Amino acid sequence: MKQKQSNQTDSSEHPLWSLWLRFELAIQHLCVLGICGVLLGAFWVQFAQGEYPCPLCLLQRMAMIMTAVGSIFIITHGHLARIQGFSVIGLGYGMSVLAALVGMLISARQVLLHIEPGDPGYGSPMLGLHLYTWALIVFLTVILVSGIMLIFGRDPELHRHRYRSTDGQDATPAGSRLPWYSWCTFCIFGVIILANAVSAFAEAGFNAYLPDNPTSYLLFE
Amino acid sequence: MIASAIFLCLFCLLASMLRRKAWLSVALFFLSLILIVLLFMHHATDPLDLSW
Repeated sequence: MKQKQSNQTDSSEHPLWSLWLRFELAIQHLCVLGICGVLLGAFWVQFAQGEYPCPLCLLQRMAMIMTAVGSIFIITHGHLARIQGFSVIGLGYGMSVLAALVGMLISARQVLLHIEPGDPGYGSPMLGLHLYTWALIVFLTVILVSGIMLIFGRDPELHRHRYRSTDGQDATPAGSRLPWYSWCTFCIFGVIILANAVSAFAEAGFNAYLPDNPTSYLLFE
Repeated sequence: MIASAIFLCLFCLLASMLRRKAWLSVALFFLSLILIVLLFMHHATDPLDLSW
């Protein structure tokens, strides 16, 4: 048993493994920031180009937010490694894959709605593709990255030292011991979610559902 | 309003990540996912008068 523990310590202290753990952590942050970038791009199309997001566009935004939630889960709970016997990596990337599958379903429906030859599609294309086609590519990429990280992801408990308090005790909740870059990622993501909530409310007004082809912000009419 | 409510649910999900209870996050994740699927089914079936 002691020898096993010693081997684990040796491997975790190897510079290459330490570098790989940092790479994994960077990938998890980049996943969240990448989704933030895509959502900011959608905001740019909405406000700078004056295009109103349709209900399916908003549903795709929701699914994108949920794919990033999986990475956030690993960032905040990684120091626990296992929760009631369930792997934190499995839970986190599982969430991302499920959300990406739902997102793919929604974006594939919108692609199919406009697949007929001669159909101009909804909204103006960006870099040759419509936003819902880009969304489909983003969801496929999330599934690809999650699969790769599930295979090559190491035990996040090896990050435990980052969460250990000065008196040698493990820090309790995830949030209180997060490093500054995780907090920045967390806050940027939170602001984008709230901005989407405000934008959706402005577009739908006090109606339960959005119109299929919105042409104005109903709250201000 | 339903769309903005789901976005607020997603914000609560994000806030729950800072708490010690991880299962709250998992439960909120599935709640949000179900809400998104139901809203999608409504928008997908509404033109067909299937009343989802």
